[in-house]
Amino acid sequence: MSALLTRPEAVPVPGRQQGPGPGSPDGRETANIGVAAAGALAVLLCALSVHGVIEGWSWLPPLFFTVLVPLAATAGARRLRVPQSLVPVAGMAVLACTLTWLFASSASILGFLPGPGTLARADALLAEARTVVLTEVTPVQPLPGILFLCCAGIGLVAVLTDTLAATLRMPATAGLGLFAVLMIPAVLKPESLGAGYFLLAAAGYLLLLAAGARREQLGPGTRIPRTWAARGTAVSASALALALLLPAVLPGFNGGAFPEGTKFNFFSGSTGLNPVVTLGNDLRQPQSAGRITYATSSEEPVYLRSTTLEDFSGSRWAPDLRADERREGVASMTRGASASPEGRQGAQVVTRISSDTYSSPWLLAPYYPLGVAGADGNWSWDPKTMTVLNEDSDGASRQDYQVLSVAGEFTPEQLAALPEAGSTSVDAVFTDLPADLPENIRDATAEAVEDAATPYAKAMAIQGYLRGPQFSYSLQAPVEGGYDGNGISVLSEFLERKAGYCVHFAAAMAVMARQEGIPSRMALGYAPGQDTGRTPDGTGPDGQPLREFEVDSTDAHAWPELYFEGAGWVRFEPTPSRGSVPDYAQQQQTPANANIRDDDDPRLSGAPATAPAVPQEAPLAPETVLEPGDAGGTAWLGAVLGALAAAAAVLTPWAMRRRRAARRRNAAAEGPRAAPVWDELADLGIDYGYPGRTADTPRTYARRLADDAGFSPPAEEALTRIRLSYEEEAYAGAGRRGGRAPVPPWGDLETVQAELRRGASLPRQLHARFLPPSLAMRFRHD
Amino acid sequence: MDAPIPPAAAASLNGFPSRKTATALKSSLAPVDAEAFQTAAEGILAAVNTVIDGKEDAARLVLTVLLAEGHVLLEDVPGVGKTMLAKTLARTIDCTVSRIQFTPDLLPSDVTGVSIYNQDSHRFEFRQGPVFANVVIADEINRASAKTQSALLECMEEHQVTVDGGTHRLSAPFIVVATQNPIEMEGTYPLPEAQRDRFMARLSLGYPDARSEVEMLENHQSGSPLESITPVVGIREASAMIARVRDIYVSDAVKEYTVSLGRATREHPDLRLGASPRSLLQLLRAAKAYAALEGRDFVLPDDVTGLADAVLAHRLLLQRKAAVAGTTASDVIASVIAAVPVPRSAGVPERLRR
Repeated sequence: MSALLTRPEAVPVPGRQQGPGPGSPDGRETANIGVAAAGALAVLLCALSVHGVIEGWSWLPPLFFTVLVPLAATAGARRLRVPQSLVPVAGMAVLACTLTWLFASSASILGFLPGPGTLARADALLAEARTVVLTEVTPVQPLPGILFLCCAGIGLVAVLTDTLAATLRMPATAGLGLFAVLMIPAVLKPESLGAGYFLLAAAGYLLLLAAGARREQLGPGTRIPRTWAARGTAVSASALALALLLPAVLPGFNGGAFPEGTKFNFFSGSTGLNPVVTLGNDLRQPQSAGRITYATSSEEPVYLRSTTLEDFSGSRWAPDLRADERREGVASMTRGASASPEGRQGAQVVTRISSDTYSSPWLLAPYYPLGVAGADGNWSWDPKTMTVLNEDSDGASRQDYQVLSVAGEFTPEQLAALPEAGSTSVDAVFTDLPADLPENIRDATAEAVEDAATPYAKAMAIQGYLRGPQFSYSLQAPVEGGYDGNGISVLSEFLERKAGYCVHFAAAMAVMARQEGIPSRMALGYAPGQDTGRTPDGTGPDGQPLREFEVDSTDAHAWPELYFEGAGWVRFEPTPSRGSVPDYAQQQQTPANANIRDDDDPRLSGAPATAPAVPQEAPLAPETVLEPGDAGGTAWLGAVLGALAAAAAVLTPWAMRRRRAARRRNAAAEGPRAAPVWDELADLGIDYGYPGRTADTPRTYARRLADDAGFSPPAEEALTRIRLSYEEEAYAGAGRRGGRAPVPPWGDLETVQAELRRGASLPRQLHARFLPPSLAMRFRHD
Repeated sequence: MDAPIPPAAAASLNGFPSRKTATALKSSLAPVDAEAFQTAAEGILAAVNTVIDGKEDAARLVLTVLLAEGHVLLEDVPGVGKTMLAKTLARTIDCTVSRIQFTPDLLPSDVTGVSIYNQDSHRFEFRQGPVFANVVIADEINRASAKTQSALLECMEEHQVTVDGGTHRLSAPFIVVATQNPIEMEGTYPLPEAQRDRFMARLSLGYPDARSEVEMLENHQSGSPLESITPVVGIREASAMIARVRDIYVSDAVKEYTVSLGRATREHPDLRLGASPRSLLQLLRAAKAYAALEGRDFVLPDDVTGLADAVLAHRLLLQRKAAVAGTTASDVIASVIAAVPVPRSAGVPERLRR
């Protein structure tokens, strides 16, 4: 194996007589073609796991071209005896031509040579890909940009793999490139890589290793010895089994088959343009991230809104920037606002928000914001949705600002008295429904609303329906059912399965409300977090004390806002067990829901007096899947276990070797016998790179060891003493005569060991000590 | 008549056909102790080395064969000291030596002896031929006809001479040192394979190195150095030394190893004919003698491998293809030695044997 990780000597082991040796140019070329083919196959097998990140299989044919054509070119270059250093260059050039032919044929010379237009086209494609990456959730549609990104990346990996495996003859190192390919699905797919794709990728890698080992050790044309193949199979099978089983038993590994451990939080710090994309991922993370603290003078729990989703058409939903509507100046956001807070007679509320690690172009604010002070950057606001957006794409991630807002204070009676919204009250975007609305959404709406008459009654009916006992809150069910994400088809699927999380509930209520003629939108942001118990300096507009809360990625939330004529946009809470239901939306007439007890959410109950010393040990809400504190504990434990396991793995060979030596020392002293001493000597020889051969007699081995290692006279004498007593014991018929041969003192062996150590380089010494080859020899027979 | 096969050797060659071995030592002879053996052996070798310069290994090998009760075939170009070596060795032991110069007209009776009518006693009397000696030097054995060669070879094998229905025992110890000239082949009768098999070892002396050659020129200017040789041991001592060699211990591991070597030659693709069971027996016997010369009372695998070339090479028949390719029997033996694993004694168990 080590021969595969490091580049072997240019001249392979001499003495292989049968067949054209690996040294002969013909044989090497054939072998290199074999390795290159194995590399291409390995890359393709790994690339299969991209299925699920990109929808469908249409990405596969272009990928085939981008992997196979450059690799064919490198193989041809090797065949033509192009200098080794130029082979990867040829591969890269052909890769560029292939990509040009596939993606920018019209903007190139002769259809495949990259020209000046090609770069612009590539730039456009990359920009498109960037937008998709930022705004869409997997599986993404196979748009040209994404295909280009995928093909270019995997093509590069293919050339890299080929260079490492075939040109530099280090196939084990080529696994790095394959690993890079596997990272894409492991990070992006909610269910991670999956055992099947992992096994496919592993099979590809093993094939590459086998091809490399065959080239180095046997040369082409020879048959693989059966024992060799059997041993290789046994080792790789056990390694695979371990890789599949270990994540199941180790804590902290929640990713399933691919042992990537806790998933990397690529999106937690920067939530990106589309919070919908990452909301599910944020919620599923065992560790909280993106901590935000806010201090508010409000009596009610405060929902922090970042953006809204109005446009329910299209197969993917994404927040609309609505750049046309945006206005500058967020210090005062009331001038000319169409959705003026006419229904809002509530007290003004001051909220001071500071985001530690959260960063997003959208500014978090409680609804209904009247003005923002202290935020760095070039902010604009949308009077229709009251969302605040940073116009600078690279705004400061850490923000410390104050929002003045007014909370709505409605009573059920007030709302019940409101009429239906006029057709011109709001923009069409808040009322439009996709033309191809699935039938089961209509049915569900009809079932929910029954005979409710007023808009408020209808809204309450829909909320009650979604909070009913048949729906359950689950972060994993959409992932397992394959309907994680957003879009009208996802919504339809959710209403079938009746299990999902806030995005599904909120979208369902928004769409169902529109069917009943109530304008609606979906708000994204954070549910009220957890009371920190601190009371920062400062007061609200009316002198109320501020209470500090903190939220993080596990509080990410989505909720519907419905428009009522005369009251404006009103928040509802259809998601069971998350957030808090506003007073006006409480279901008086549904005792069946009593068991849900949303407002008993212990995280909200903390009055300042009951400062929670250990905040995380509050009892879990029934459906809460992952509790950050719990996960943090296991992660810590996992890290310690992992460190211990790594230390143990490093030290195990050393310890086993020492134990073996100690056992032999005892056996030699007990007998007294010379054989254990001799065995230890033979193992030392193996460790320091002077292995014996089965055809060696003790005498020939000792002579070779002394010659090769350049023993000094005292060491040679010690070696001779050991050899003589071993020969006597082994061949003079032990116990034949009365007297026994004198057993060499263990000191002689230590003399020899010191001599070996003296003559060895430092890497050789470390290798002999911590990865003694003699341990592996136990399993070898050749 | 048949001396018992040494038990160790018999056990080592289990399954091999038991065959007659030719030893006629009186059992009353007590083996010499190790020290006396060593002194005597060193004395003999020292004496030989005063005559033959720079050929210690060859001298040791010939002495090994003598102690192992075998016969040796010296094959080399003329003038490198084949006959001189044989004569010197014979002279260091106080024993009878005879020399037969083989010529194409030599008759079997010239070797074995003839029955002559004694007119005084009116009876036929057997007149012993030159073969009745302890050391017989058969010079240029390939020059005699096949009939004469086989007469000698029968003596070598059976240690007896049968003439006119009467059987006459040869003296003991009995060693034939035959020489053969491989260059001048015209009018010669090369020994057939089956007869080469009767020689325990074949060796070629080769030219001495430059320093030894200078010394030789210096020392041998006046008269034959042979004159100055006085016997080191007597015939009884020599027999006692031979008896000691028969008592050298051979472990099971070494027996197994010897058999493995033999089997490997039989299965070797380059060989038409591998080592015979007799050759293995002789190899082991030679190894015992060699171990005794080294001052050990047990045989090491190294003794076997060290002698394998001398003992086995002249018995192996190469495939025509291999011979054309330039492979020699010595190459084959070297490759076999490099491939056959050395077994470990059953009494010393441990998984690693390297």
